[in-house]
Amino acid sequence: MCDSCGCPADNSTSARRIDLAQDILSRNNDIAGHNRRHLRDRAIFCLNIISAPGSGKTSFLERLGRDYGRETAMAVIVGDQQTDNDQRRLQEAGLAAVQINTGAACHLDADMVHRAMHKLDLASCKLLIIENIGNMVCPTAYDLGEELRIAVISTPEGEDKPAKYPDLILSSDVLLINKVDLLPYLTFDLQECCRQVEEIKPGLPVFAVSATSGEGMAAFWQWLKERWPAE
Amino acid sequence: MHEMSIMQNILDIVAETTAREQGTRVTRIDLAIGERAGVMIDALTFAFEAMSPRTIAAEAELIISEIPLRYQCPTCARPGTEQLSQCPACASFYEMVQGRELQITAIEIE
Repeated sequence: MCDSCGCPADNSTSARRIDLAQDILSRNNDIAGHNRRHLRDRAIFCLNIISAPGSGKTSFLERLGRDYGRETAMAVIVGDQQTDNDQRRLQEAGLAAVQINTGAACHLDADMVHRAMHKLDLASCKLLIIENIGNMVCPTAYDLGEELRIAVISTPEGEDKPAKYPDLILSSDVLLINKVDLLPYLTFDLQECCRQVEEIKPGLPVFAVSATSGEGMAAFWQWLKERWPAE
Repeated sequence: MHEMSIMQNILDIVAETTAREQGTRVTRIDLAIGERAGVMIDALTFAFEAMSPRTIAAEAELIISEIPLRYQCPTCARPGTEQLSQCPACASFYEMVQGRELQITAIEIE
């Protein structure tokens, strides 16, 4: 029946409201959950490394591979907009590596990681490291299935980086301050940087490291090993 | 920068829900976006205008509610602020209890 005059014609609006209360990234989160179960079932510990471009993520992983690759089998999924330069660098450091080229996207999502995981031989792998696209904002919104999220800043970027990009600090489990071998040549204030981190996320573990000199690598590796579930 | 990808996720959920509910047209989409969700509302609105034509949501109105940041002391439930990391009453560190939402709350279909 018409809702204006009561005539038999049916002109009543059929609009229906459907309550969803659904996370916009629910599909990503479902796939991330799948990745996490897949890796846990195989006793593989997974890390997601996020930083600005040029903070030294790849150099850090090369160093990690050279120093600890014999002790622990590692594989890397590395994301960049273009080129397989990083994959080649990591392979030269003795790591199993697969490159994701995102083209336009500014972050990795769980589905890209899932597909890359199937390109790797994970049979003997104990540690899977995802090197995200160089970007301190967008990647923080996407769970990839990692156990720990690692934020990296480097000394040439300035000590106020945590204050400028708090979302990354908030969503991370540990912060690496890389390139500390350059401290004698810079005005970077390490203490002030740590103070800012403490204000944003009290108690966040911070490691000052240098992929070039190797400083701080052993302390970080020790901390990391303590996070793995006993085999 | 990732607002286009967020919008693609929204349009996918809208299309799936409309098909499941046997609707033919979407008239309204309600979102709740937290202040600390890492999403720019203007960029999200732009992405909607750019991406919704030729989808089932082409004529839909996009309504975005911004959810403000809220901190609370986990021990004594005293409300906190972003400027203060510790509760003055019991010295516990404040926890963020609101402001990271990235949710599609409801849609209206015909």
